[in-house]
Amino acid sequence: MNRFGIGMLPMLVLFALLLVSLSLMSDATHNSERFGEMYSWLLLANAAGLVVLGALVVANIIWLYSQKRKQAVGAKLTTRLVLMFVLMSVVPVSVVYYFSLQFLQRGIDTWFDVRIEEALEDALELSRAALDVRLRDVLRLTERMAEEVSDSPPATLSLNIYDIRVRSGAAELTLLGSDGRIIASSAAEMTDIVPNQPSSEMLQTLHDGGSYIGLDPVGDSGLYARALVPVLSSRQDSEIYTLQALFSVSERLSILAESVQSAFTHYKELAYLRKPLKFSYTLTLSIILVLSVLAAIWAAFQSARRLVAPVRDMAEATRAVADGDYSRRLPVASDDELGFLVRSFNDMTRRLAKARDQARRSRKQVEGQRTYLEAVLANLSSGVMSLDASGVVRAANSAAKQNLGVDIKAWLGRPLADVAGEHIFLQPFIDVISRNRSKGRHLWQAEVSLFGASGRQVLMCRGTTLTGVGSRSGGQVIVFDDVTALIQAQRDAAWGEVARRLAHEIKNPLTPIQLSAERLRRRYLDRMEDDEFEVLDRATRTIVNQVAAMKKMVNAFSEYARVPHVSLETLDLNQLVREVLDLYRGSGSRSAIEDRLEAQPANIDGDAGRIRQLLHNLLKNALEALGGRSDASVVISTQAGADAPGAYVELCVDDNGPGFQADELDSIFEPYVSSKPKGSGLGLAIVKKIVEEHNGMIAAETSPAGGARIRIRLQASEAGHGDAGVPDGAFSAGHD
Amino acid sequence: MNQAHGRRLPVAGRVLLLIVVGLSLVGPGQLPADGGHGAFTVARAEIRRGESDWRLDAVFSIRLSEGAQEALENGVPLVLDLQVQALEKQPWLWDAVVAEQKRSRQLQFHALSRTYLVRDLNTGFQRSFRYLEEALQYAGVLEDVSVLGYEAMKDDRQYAVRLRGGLDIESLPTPVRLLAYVSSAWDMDSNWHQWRLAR
Repeated sequence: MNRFGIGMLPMLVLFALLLVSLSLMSDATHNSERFGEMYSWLLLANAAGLVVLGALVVANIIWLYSQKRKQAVGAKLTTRLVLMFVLMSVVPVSVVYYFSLQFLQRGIDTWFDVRIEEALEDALELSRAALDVRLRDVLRLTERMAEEVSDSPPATLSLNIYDIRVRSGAAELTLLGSDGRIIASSAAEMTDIVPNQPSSEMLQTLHDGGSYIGLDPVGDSGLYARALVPVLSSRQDSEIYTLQALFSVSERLSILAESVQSAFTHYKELAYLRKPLKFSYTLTLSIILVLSVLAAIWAAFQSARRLVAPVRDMAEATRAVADGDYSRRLPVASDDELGFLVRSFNDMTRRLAKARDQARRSRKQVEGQRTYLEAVLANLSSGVMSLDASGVVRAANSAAKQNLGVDIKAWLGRPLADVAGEHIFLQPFIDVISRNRSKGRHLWQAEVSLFGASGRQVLMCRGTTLTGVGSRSGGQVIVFDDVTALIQAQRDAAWGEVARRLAHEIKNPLTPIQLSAERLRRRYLDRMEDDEFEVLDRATRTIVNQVAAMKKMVNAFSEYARVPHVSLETLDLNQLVREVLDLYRGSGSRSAIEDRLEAQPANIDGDAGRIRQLLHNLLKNALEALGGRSDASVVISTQAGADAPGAYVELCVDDNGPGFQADELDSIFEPYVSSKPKGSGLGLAIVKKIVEEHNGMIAAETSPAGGARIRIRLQASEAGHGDAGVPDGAFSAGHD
Repeated sequence: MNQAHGRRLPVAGRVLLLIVVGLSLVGPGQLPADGGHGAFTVARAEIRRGESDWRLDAVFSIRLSEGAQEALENGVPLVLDLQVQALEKQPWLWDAVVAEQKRSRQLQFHALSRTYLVRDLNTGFQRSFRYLEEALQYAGVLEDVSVLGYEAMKDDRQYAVRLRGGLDIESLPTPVRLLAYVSSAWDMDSNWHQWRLAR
């Protein structure tokens, strides 16, 4: 049995009991013998039912009031349903009650009719009149019997009484003394041992000097005529006796009279009971009404609560679902539309929960993939940037910043074209992207050269158009790598190869050329005429000199191309600088070479010979650039790393010469790039090579004094300083 | 010391009925007017030692209320109960009724003969009276009623006899019964009259 059935059971039982009790009471009201005796108890039982129902209703009203005050879900609906149910039940019941009462009042009144009452009274009077004849006869007869008794001698009194009774046909004859004592008695029925005594009132009538005659219903024997007459005694004792005679009325007359009497009494009783009966019926009906109304109200409450319960549950569950709790399931209480609704709701929440779980899993997967992708992108050395269809920057990785030298992430959500407004050097990069985008190429690759704060930079860019769906469709992913170092390395390698080949291919024929020229000179110079002598002398000397110059050049190339065998040891750079400077000062150079070395030793791990060559090349380069100016000044300085003290040692060589041109800065360290009229063009290339052999960095810039500045960073010795490497972020090249 | 009549409703029942009647007054029904107050009073009572038991003679003075008298004259028979109880005193509990006698007399008006009939419901004996007072006087007499046998009495206990009379409402016709319960005009019961039995 479902919840509804179980909940209804006590209600049905209570109603059934009340119905039985009411029907019994209604029966009892009709004065039925069966339930008449139980009437009071039935009334009490119904009253108790009334109180119980009333208490239930009051409890329900209080509950509903508290629900409304708490603004509980379903309270308003319950109130509306209860009011509707109550109205629906009370109105018809009240109408029925009103008309029932009217019928009751009038119906009971119609039982009684004045004419019937008068007829019954007349019938009674007629009976009395009919009996009066008999009574008068009885009185006369009794008076005669009294005369006989008065003449009887006391000794035979009892016998005479018996005789007289038998002769007169009386049922009982009794002689009483003046004080009411029985003197003699005779009865037709032998069982009546004790004579039927007259009442004191009857005797009092005789004392007043009269006789008594009257009807007397004696037990169940029917009507009797009772006559009491004084017996005037002729004897000496002056006591006045009383003779009482009981005569039965004729059976037919008795039956008829009793019938009339019974009908009259019954009618009189009914007439008397009319008001109480009306009251009683009204009371019964009122109890039925009140019970019905209370039961209806209670049933209304129960029904409303039962009807509203699933709605309330659903409202609460909906609120829970709205709050994100999809685990809520409602019990299916019935197979009706509400049950269908509940099942649908359960289905819905189940699917919602499933969808949510799936979405959560998908989100986790996407997040995982995204995290993975971000990790991959973050660890890529290539810069990655995505643009949407309108060219707005949507995403960029950390390497993008390193490769471009601009924090692209700060430009997320803004058009890429705007970046050029603040960072003009990125214009070529942006132009390439725009151009390829406008051409609608799905896959493109281009090399872009930028001139940024760190000098010339070559980016290798690859773009792919996104073909996905949604907002990202039509966007682009651009991957770019800073290939500056790579190109530089390739160029260096190419130069090294050229140098090696030159050294190998050119150096070999030079010696035979030189020897041949010297031989020509030795053999033919002395034999020549003056004018021929001069020609041969100049020609062979030129050959020898040029071959020597070529050898020198080839040696320089050989030096440049030589695979270094660097043996690193800890040395004091300051000390090394001082040693080299001493040589220059000793040579009587006109240029003033000033040293601004730190007092602290600048220990580095380096090859003393190679570093010394580096210093020579730098000083020579500076002095050559000055070209014998009178105010020529070269300043060589060292200092420990400013932004990471102890990590590196910086060496700067400044001159007050013409400095570098802007377009030279990128290629100044390449072989045969020189602004000087003299020089092999390998000086700075070798310097760069030595710096790279020591894992250092080199930059050419314009010095504050207006001349050139070569700045070199070498890793500080681990013995003296911690391992931090040479920070490249602080290194820049270009004009200040 | 009062105790409820055996056949009558308890006090709670009467209160409930009063509520019910009160509720019913909301409807068009109305109570018949109350009559004058009637009463059962013990006019004379005597307890005496018999041969084997205590015996009681008593006379009640009975006056019918107007309501009861009206009912009687309209043919409704009235049952008058005279009740005698012997009590055994108990130290901590209510007194225990160890013996009980009840005499019920039915009083009825006989319209044809214009007499009042008194029938002893215990014996079936009936007498007729021309006047109501006479009938009531006859109905209110208890003669030589055995109250408590000596053998039923314990030596270490106290005993008492009590007596009361009243109208038996439950014998009334159903419609009148409710009124008789709730209307004070019908309340003719005497209180208990109690005597301690001497040793």
